[in-house]
Amino acid sequence: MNRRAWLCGVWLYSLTASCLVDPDKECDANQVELNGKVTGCLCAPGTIPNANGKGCSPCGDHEEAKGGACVCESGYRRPQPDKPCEEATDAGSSDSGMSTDTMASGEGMACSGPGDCAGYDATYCQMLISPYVCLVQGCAVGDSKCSGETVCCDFKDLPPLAPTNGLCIPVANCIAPGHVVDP
Amino acid sequence: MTRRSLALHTLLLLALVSATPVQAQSDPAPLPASEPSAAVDPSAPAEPPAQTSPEAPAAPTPADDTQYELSAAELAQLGLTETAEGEAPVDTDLKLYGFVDFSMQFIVGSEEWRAGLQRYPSFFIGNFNIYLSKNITESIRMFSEVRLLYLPNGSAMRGSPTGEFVTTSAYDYADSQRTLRWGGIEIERVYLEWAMHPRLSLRAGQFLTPYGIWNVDHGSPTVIPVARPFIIGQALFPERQTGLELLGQVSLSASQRLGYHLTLSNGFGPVSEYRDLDANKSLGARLFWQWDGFGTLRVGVSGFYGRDTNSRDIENFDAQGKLEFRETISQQSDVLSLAGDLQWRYENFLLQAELITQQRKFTKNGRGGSIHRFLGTYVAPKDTFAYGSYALLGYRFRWLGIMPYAVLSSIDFVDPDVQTLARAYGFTVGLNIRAIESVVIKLDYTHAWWPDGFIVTDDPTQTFNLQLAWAF
Repeated sequence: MNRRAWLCGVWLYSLTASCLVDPDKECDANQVELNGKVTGCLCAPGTIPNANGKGCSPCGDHEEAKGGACVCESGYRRPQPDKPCEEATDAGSSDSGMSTDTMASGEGMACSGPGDCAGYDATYCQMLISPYVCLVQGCAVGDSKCSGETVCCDFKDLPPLAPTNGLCIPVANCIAPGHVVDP
Repeated sequence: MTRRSLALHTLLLLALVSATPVQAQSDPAPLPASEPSAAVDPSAPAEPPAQTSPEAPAAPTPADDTQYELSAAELAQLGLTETAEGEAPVDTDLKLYGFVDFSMQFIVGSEEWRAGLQRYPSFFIGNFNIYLSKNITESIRMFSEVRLLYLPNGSAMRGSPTGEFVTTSAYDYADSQRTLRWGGIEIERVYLEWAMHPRLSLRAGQFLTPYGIWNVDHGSPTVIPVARPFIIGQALFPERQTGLELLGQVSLSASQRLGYHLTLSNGFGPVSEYRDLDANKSLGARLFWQWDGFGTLRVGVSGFYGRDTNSRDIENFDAQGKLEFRETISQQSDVLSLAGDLQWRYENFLLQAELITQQRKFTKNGRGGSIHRFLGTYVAPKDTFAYGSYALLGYRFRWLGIMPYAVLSSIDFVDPDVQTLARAYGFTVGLNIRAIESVVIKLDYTHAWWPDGFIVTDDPTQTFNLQLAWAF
């Protein structure tokens, strides 16, 4: 075999043997693989997505991951939205630091367009993700107040939702690029 | 793949390339520096090869002088005249040519597929491409290809819950403010090519990635089926790159030759045409061997390695009120693409096949996820190994230039936009009719099926295509 053929053989072999992806580790730490018609990396149980959208972090003590957010276990609550969970002094509640006012009118009502929410407190028809429901908007600029189990989530960095000036949604649904604000 | 092993591959390739000209020096018939058109259809005259020295007398190298020397009468017949000093003339005219394809697509069967792809049979102009080339000197030429588009008008806004699409309607001030719909231009390639040596040319600019067979010979009149196999359209290699390309070929014997391409470019990226969003330049290579013995057999391998980055610079004022730019990487991954191809032409028979693979590994800080629009929960892309292949078989009869053909294809990849698994097989049968030069009629039927189902539906897709393609 001449030198040229030998070199060619070595090059071909090295190319075909090259491997960049480790089939046993296709996600980052704190992530699990999702395999099916949709594939990808999900946050492992007990972890939530980081605010910058990259990677997942475990929840703290007495917290559990629910809907993409760390919420207090039963019997615990946060004294402040960004504080660790502490044992609740009043019995029977688990929370994420929300007020317990009554819900705004129309909030959570199914809708198929803005017209369905007109006339209620919840005037914004959320149609980005199913189910489409009426939500209270304008909370980040003080036009409205969130009530019940919702917090004010500002989506100013998400163009489709930026004009809402903040939506009242469950804390678990307020994930990057949205962030909880306290107007 | 580590940087070390990548460097080893490159060194081996360079050693291989540098080893060959020694023997090639004595070749009786020097070859042009670039790969001849790896025509998908060997009999197709349509797409002019975008390569060095397209016109025989245009760019003779010193070694070629005697080979291509023409008499004054022959030069005159070509519209060329010898200079007063007796130097070889160069056709420096600007050349303008191109191709068009007009098609009708009819998707049958599943309602979901028709809704997702095309609900009703439609006529459309698919490609209206214009080539522009010019020999600037004996050894330097420019070449460009642009595609004229109706897009972005009518392009669906992906993920829009209301099914909106882009509209480009505008009021025409030159026609009583009547409405017109403007279109766009896609620059497919534009580069300057310098034939430094009979076996070495350099391209600078934007060029089609030299991998496999199909990506370079992409003109509708030369491509045998109506549609490209799945794997060619999925950009497992970048379809085109902006940077530098070294290319050439050497003769190994009277019937064998070896060709090569080496590329250095911006690689992948959302604006790779003019901006690299990371510091890593991408490397690519192609090597092919051709044997003109029992028909013409060509075997090639191609590789590409680069970093694919999607990032933004966010302007902000720091605490001192000074403007700062913060680089925010939304996704970043390293990509290794490898491919092999084979083409055998024997008289009117054609067999060609390609196998293409891509490995994509996200960097430590590059696996950006988001709320999945189908699942409503956070999903980040995982590292992927995508691959696919096709084999095409055809025979062109002399009668009416009819070529019956069949294509078998497969693909296994993840859609980067919605993270959906696409594992599919396809079978195409059709006719390619070249009754007259430069005009081709194509009819084909494709049946594709999804053994593991698909997010849209588990039903197979069935498509009838009719196409008229012509070169001008």
